[in-house]
Amino acid sequence: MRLFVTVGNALVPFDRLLGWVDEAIAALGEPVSGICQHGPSRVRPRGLEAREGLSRGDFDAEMAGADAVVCHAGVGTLWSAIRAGHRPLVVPRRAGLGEIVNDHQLEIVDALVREGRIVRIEGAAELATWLGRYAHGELKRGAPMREDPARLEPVAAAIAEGPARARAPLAGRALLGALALLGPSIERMRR
Amino acid sequence: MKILVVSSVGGHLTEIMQLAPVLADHEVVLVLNDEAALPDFPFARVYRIAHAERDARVLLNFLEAARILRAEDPDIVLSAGAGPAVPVALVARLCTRARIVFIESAAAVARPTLTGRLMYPIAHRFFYQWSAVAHFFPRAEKASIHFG
Repeated sequence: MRLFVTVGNALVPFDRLLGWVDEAIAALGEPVSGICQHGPSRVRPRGLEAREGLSRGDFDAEMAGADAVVCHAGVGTLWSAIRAGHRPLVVPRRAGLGEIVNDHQLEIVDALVREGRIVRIEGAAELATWLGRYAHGELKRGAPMREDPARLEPVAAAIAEGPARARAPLAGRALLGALALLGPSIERMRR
Repeated sequence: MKILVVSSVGGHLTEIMQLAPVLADHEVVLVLNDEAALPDFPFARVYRIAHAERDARVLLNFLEAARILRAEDPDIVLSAGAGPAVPVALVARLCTRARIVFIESAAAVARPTLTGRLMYPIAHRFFYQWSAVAHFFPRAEKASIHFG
């Protein structure tokens, strides 16, 4: 079974999730392969290739190629997994455990669990049970989703309106010039 | 249109790049607050500004925003958060002709994000993604870009 484990681009480790993955793989008793994107975390789950970060292309390729996905509850990560056809096994980061600045991941997890689009994982044993279902073929990932381009139309229409006014007000232009004089050189920022 | 896309690295960047099919019709300049792999998109230019974490570097972001806005003079400033959207949008609203378009994160399921609350009075057009936060933003519109 090919597994993709990812904890996103956060600057804070998520060793609780990676520890559960390691325990679950040990309990599984089945060979696993795949990548574990760990960021600044210290734990390295057995059997998986450890990578600190992934390029967009590698990230998408792992989502496309994995049989099962275990991840934190970042919006981008969840959306990528769902779009690729997965019902990801999700551990939300918790502010009380120093894993994130606030508990918004709990809210998005609740909403998506209610819709049946993700599974919330509460511990290593539960994770092992779910991984076992994928390993034994009782569960299979779905096909990639087709997205509706109409969902982008409201924002596209707002962009098409163009600038809010023909010219900036004189006082605004003066303020912009004054602030810009104090700012760092444009070349230093352009990379 | 020339669109200045402002984003923090990570999830917010992934969110705003969902609009790639829309952005592809325009000249897009990206402002990021850190080093990170760029999305696969033909940006006209990319700027990196200081990574503020609700600290004094926000002040530096205002100066950086002024420099970039004066050089680029965008038609649209577009963001889905987080932090760096606020100084760039505020300077753009006061000092330029740009229309400010903000999309509240799909992570704002039940409560607005801090960035969303700060951006609501600044943005000309404000979109949210979950109906449960609609009553926080009476003149905003829904655009379910992610989870519908």
